[in-house]
Amino acid sequence: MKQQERITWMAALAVVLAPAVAGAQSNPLGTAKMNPDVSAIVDMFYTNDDTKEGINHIKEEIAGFAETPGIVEEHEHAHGTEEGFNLRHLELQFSAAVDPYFKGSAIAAVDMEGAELETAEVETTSLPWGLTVKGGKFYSNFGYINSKHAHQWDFTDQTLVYELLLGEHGLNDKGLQVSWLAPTPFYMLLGAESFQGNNEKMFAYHGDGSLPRHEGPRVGTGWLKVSPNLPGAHALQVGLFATKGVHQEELDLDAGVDGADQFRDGTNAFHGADLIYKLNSPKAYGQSDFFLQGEYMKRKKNMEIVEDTGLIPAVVGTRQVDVQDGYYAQAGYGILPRWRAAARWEELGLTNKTDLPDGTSLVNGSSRKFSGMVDFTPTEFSRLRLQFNNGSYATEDGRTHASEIFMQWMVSIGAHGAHSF
Amino acid sequence: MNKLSALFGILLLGGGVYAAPLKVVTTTPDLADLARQVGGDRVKVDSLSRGSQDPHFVEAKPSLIVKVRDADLFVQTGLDLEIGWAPLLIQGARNARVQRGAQGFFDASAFIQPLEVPTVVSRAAGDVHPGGNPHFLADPHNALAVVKALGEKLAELDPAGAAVYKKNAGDYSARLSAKIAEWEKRMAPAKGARFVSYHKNLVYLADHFGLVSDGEIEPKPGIPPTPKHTADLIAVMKERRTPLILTNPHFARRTPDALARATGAAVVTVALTPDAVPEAVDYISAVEFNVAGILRALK
Repeated sequence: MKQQERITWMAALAVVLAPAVAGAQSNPLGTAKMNPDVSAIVDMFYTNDDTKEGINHIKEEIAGFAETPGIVEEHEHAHGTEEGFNLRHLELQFSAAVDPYFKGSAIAAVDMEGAELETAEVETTSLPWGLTVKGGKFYSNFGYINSKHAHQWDFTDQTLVYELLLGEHGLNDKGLQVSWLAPTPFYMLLGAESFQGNNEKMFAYHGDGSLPRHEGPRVGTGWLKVSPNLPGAHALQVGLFATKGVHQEELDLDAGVDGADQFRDGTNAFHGADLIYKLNSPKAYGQSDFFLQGEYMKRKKNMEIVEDTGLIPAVVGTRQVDVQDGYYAQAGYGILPRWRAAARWEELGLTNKTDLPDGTSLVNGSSRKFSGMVDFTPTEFSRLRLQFNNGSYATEDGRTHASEIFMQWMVSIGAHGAHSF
Repeated sequence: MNKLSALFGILLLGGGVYAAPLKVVTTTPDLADLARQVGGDRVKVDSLSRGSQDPHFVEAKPSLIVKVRDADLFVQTGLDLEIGWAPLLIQGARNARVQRGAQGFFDASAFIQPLEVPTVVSRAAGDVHPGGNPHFLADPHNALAVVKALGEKLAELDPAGAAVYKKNAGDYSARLSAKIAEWEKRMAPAKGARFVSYHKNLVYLADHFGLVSDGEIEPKPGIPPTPKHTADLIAVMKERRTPLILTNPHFARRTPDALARATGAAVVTVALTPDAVPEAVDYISAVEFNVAGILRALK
């Protein structure tokens, strides 16, 4: 099924791409006349770390955040980075007004394994009372970084708290979003989303065999963004969010004998806050521009063991409750025309508690990471970046330190639209 | 009883919203001044950017979305000048009155004859605008055309004020035309004067007053100066005895000053829009500032 979907996508892409590529080479006006707007973003990087087992392996074992050992069928491709050269993806974007009432866009991410539908969404453009309805497969608009694509991040890698709780792509799913721009004298946007609930990490769903079926949609979110009217070059936005949904796990606790043997059904929920401040300096080419950004979130996973065909059938009916949190804070400055430097500090597991099915509790330590980066933006259509990470991780096998280096190169061709605040 | 009358008062005020001035937002301060001149007391005009900002790069911040949300008329320069931010504001504002193509959406570039429309567009040439050079308000003749169109647009949105808008537009055009005649007379001796500009944003000004460009400090539009390009430009300026270096307040003075030291040419700050320098309080005083600055430097 998945393979078939991919093949269909590749065929569709080939058809759309042929004229787009031809246009991009000679004359973008040709593509501008085309309906829809087409653009391509290439995101590639080189990375290396100083650990024997690899940074991805360490991240999989962070205490309290580790995927519960032996999870079967969690996600099809480990999207993790490889040491050495990486082509994160070629992002193909299509967007156009459908008619006077709707606009549509789709983004396909093509990587070495094939093509994947990143987003495909339709949005209303003319509802009254400040309302907008969006449907399709899209990034949830909770928080700040979740709705940003990888090429819009200020660092090469995803933040720890997002990567470990939600996966590298954050919360991106099929669903419906309703948002309301309140008629207040300052900016206030309220939104609610309903998602099918079929994610990489949080809100995984199996619904077959030993696990009960739950009708979709299985995930709901609510969020709020407020921005005061600051003078001139200053901009500030603060947000609050909360999300809850069905979560299921299939565990292989007897290590490989006959696949999964323990089945868990329950809920996963998180809530948190975000803040962004930007200073748009009057100097040209981004010099002296400044930003400060941070997000905090806390999750609670409450799972009931509904079946155990393996080692410990007695645990059926008992629960495991996980409470974990994390945050990141980052700031950047335009040190020279077209050059930025930024630093990021992250902490994971300030609260890190697991109530085990046997009634005992486990309190795990916290992990920390510092990142520094410098990037150069020759034009709005290309960017080069050098980044360094140094982390101290509380893993299930004890504390581990890791340093990483990234060299990234991103380019955008075609009718690439403006980037939102 | 008191509460009742208070409530009644609120209702009356609410009913009075219809008589409130037409809300106009413009992307840049020059358009704001023109809209104010034409609209007079019947409109409330707000500019989304300030004169000290580069109009290509304005942050589409949420508080600007609120201004567009409440607007009856959205006025932009066009020719992709504001493409990096204006579409986001219109989209975020959810205001059907000012969506592109709606009655309350006004694109000034539709009423002028663009210069430098490229025949082949490639980003290898830098940040070029496929529709032509967007800095057309540097030529006051184009401002006349925009004022006329703005008057008609305001009359369309607020028919009760049609006569006022027509009179205001006529009065302002007469005032501006008189100033244009005066500027042309004063600038007549400067005809044929050679200049370099920081960014390629003075094409219309040069076209109007007959100045001749010897190139830009930016090697390509949107690319900051490089030592090699600056050295080449110095050679050109020395050979042609270029007397003028025109720049804008949002560009660093380092390279223009270096050019001035190397060639003896004078650096003149040009206000492309009111509020770019303190002397430029409105469109006419901005052009006056530029004319006076150029003439002073050529003396």
